[in-house]
Amino acid sequence: MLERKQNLLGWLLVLPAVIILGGFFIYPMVYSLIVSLFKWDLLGSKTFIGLDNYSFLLFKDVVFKKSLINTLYFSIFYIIGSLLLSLGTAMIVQQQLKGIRTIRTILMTPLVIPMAITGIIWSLLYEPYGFVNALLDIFGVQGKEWLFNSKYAMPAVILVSIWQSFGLYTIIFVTGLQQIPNNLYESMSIDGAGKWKMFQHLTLPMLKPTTFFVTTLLLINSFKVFDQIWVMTQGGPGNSTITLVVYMYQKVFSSVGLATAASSILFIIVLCLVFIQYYLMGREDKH
Amino acid sequence: MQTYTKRSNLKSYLILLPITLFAIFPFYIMLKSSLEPLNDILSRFHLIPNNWLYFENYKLVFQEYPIFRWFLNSSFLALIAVLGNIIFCPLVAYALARINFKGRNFIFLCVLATLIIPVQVLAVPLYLMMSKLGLNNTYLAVLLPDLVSPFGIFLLRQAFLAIPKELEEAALMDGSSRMGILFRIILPNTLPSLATVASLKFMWVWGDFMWPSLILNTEEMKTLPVGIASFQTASALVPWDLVISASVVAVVPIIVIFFMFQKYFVRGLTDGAVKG
Repeated sequence: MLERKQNLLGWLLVLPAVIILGGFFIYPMVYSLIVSLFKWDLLGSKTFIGLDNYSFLLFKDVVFKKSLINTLYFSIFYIIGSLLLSLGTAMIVQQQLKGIRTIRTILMTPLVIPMAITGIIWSLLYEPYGFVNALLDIFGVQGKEWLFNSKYAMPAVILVSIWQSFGLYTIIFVTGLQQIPNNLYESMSIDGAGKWKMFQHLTLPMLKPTTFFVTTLLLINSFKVFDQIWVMTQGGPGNSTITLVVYMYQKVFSSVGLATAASSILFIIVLCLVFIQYYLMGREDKH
Repeated sequence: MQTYTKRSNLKSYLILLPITLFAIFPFYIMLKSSLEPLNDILSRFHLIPNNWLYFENYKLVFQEYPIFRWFLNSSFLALIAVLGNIIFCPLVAYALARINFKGRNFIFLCVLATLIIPVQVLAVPLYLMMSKLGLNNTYLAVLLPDLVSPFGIFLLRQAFLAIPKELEEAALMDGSSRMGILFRIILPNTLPSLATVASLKFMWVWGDFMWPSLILNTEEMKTLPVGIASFQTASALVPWDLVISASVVAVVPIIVIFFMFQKYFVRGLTDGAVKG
């Protein structure tokens, strides 16, 4: 009797989750996998074509290939830039300085702004007579048409993405740095080690788990990038900033089959990255 | 030693200055551009606007675009989503943390699975689903996937598990019901976690772009980011005076909320990063 009551109460309480998560997370995911096996342009009828959408994407579609390459290009420089900037910043803001809490909060501010608005603000900064070119002018560097040049659009978008999220990774690095026992630094400085040596032989090795973690996080986020690119360039000029999600979005109205196949590929990639992350974290925990 | 630390502190501040400026400067440019006529924005760059009290852009943008409506839409959607989360997530989290029912582990596994699915992956199939249900261009379509978040369930479950079981058992002995325990013992002790869930959810829905821009397509239904982005991307000649003052309208509320609840935001953002 009691057990039945417990079961009833339990299921009653989780009902909202079952409906919402089941109906609007798990079901669409499965539905997407099914639709990806069909040829479908939203208005017309569906025809079953097996894995043809996938093989078209992976082996024939040059735009999809371009979007994969761009996503990788984005992730490499986004990761390197974010790691350097946030680790460097963390080394400083971890100190007990006056006003450091306020500074940490300021560094987090870009994170709470709607990403689409961030894209808009930076589009203004990248205008021919905008702030970026004015700044470069001071150093005697010729200004560029950042978002209208296929060579510079991607770096411009990457900088925005680094700007948006480096505060978060800084805070994660600060947490990692604070876990390094102080006496290790003390004993090294008694041995006469300089600051750089300490960083190289103590800080960096001790930070390895945090760095792994941040890197996989950055990688996962690179594969999801969309809002700022859509607002700034819509994938252009000449597909130079088209990424996986941008490709997906462009395809919704012309070929649902391809869009869902691309989204399944994205899901598989993210899933693999999450598992790698858990695996690495688990391994670090055991040590 | 004293002077040594002072000097090294000074060096730290000197390095921090450009980094902090980097983080904050775009906001300043946004603000100052919103106080300039279009000609000034597009010609030579000025660091300081000619007239700090030039509010024509704001007047114009409220006349020309349904900014006020978009603002109401964004606020409404964000508030309802927050409400949904602070009502439903604790119930689900409590059941997962404390009630032994058949299938609990399976449900928890599903919550973990949904935690991994990126919203970007869901946008396309959700769009197809909602169109089929005839919910295209409705608030309901935007809201349904936002009413319960796997992140909120997960975070609250962790918080509930941290409360000593003895407290609950004593209350049960005194004849409290399960719901009584949740509302009188568990929730009052986990308010910070609830605040974290609420502030993050507000931020996410307020700033959400891909999903609402897919599903909402008439002017009066749009949210602030979707509306502003649509007149930014509509033509090659961007009406910067209007776009940028509208952006200020979209940014200011969330910054105010962020500074009011920064403790919860920071905790939630780092927790959110750690947990997916």
